[in-house]
Amino acid sequence: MTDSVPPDQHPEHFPRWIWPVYVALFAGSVPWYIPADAPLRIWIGLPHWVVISLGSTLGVSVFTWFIVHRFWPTPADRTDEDARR
Amino acid sequence: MTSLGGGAVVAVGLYLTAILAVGYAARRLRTSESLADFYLAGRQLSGPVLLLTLYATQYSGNSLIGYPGEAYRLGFSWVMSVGFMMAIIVSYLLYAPQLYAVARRHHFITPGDWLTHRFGSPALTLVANLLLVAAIANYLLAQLMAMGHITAGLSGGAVPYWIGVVLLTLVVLVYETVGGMRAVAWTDLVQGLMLIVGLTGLLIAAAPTPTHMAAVTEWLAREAPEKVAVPGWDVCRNWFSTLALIGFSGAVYPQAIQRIYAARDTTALRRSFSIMVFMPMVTTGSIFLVGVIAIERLAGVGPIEADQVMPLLLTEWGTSSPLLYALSLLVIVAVVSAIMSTADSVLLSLSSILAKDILGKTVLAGAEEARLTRTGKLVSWVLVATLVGIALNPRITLWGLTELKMEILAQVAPLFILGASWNKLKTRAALAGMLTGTTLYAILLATGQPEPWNIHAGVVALMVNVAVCVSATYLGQAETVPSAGQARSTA
Repeated sequence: MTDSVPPDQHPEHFPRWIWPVYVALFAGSVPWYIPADAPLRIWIGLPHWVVISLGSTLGVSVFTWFIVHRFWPTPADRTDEDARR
Repeated sequence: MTSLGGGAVVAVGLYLTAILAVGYAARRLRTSESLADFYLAGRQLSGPVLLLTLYATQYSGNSLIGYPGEAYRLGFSWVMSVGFMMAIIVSYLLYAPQLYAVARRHHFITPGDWLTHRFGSPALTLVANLLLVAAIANYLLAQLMAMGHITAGLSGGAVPYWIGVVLLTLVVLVYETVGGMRAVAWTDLVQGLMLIVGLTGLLIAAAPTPTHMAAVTEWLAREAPEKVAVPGWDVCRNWFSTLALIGFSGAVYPQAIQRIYAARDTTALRRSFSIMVFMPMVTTGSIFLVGVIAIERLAGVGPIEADQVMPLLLTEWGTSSPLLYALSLLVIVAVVSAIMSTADSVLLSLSSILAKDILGKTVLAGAEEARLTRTGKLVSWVLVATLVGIALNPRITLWGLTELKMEILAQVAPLFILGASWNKLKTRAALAGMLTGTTLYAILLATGQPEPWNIHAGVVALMVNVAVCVSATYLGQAETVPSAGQARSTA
């Protein structure tokens, strides 16, 4: 198997701190925090809440690209019995 | 409104010929009649092929026919589709690296191989396989319906729905039967590229510039203000629910899991994911904008079915100017590509589960791999014949089928996601969780509650499923004296 990531960058799992970041970014993509009666504002041709949602999702893309490059895990070998129960 | 006429027929005909040629070329590279060669292309998919086969498989007839229809129906709140396609990629991170490592060591072929390895329970594997088969057979049905819709819609009814279903299905069956996963991956490569070219054509045709979009947004604010307004809490709840539903379920498609198995190495897998993370913005984002533009564009057509939005839009563009006609032809080929690339992958996956995990462990137990491979091919033809029969009498929309499929898959997702990322999860707990979740989902559907509190019944059931998995695992630990093996596994 070939892998260009140096051995010292191979964790067992992705670091735990990335998951709260994901929760925050996905929560930002849903406009629950914008009042439903907010007046229409158009940003780059779209309602402002749509731009905010797309911006959050773009944030997820860029963040994921970063962690895939930086933290892709290489799990250690485990026996069948360990994996099962 | 007129159809795109002979040009569309010629473009699709050329494409189908090319795809069949690619399928036959892939057959020449096969090395054996083994299951691994037929269903996983010998586990030798390189980064670019893996990327495009994942891409072409993930973006389907639902994406190009169903999603514009939903944007047309709901308006700007369908921007949620970009987020939920992104959620699938993020969910992969929860289990794909671990699953890939184990799959390489133990030569997995089907999702059931992982379940057997991880949980060691024939009952759990059987129930999970039955749910997977039910879910993706549903998905295949959606692709067959999309084939019919696109053919009938684009020909203005001149080529009937049933001919589209039968003809395109036949092409898929032929190249898949001769070349297996290698043919599917190679055709996915072509189909993925066609999808990108078609999307570019779609963007040029729709021209969603800020000025154009501002005009559309203002028009919508006047004519259909509910499609521009900030969604209320009830919609947001459904939005969160959809993120969870599609995110967890979409990541455990059997055909996607088998592509993880088929990766040549970790580098190929990592590189394909690092590009896939931008595909939701590019692909679903573009389709979303086109669907919103269609609300204004098709305002004079009168009430139309959601699944007819894209065919009508392409037909209208095609009659506007020679340039738009040419671009529409590109999009048509892309749509057909998206549908076929998903159909072939789903069909191959279904065939592998039925042949290896179900027949191979019952009536064909102990059979040689070559025989199981031949059986898998036969199963594909029988299965498709059945589904074509159902597709010819559709009683549900494409998005409706998508939701149904996802809610079933959601009940299997913990076996892969929790199973790979949480060593403590016990077999009995996982089985109890899956059975409880599936039963609850069935009860909610049977009692007419598909979305209690605007949350998908499948998500409610998934939450209960996970709660049972976790609580039963801890209760099981408390009731038993830990053995050395258990202590090691939970350390």
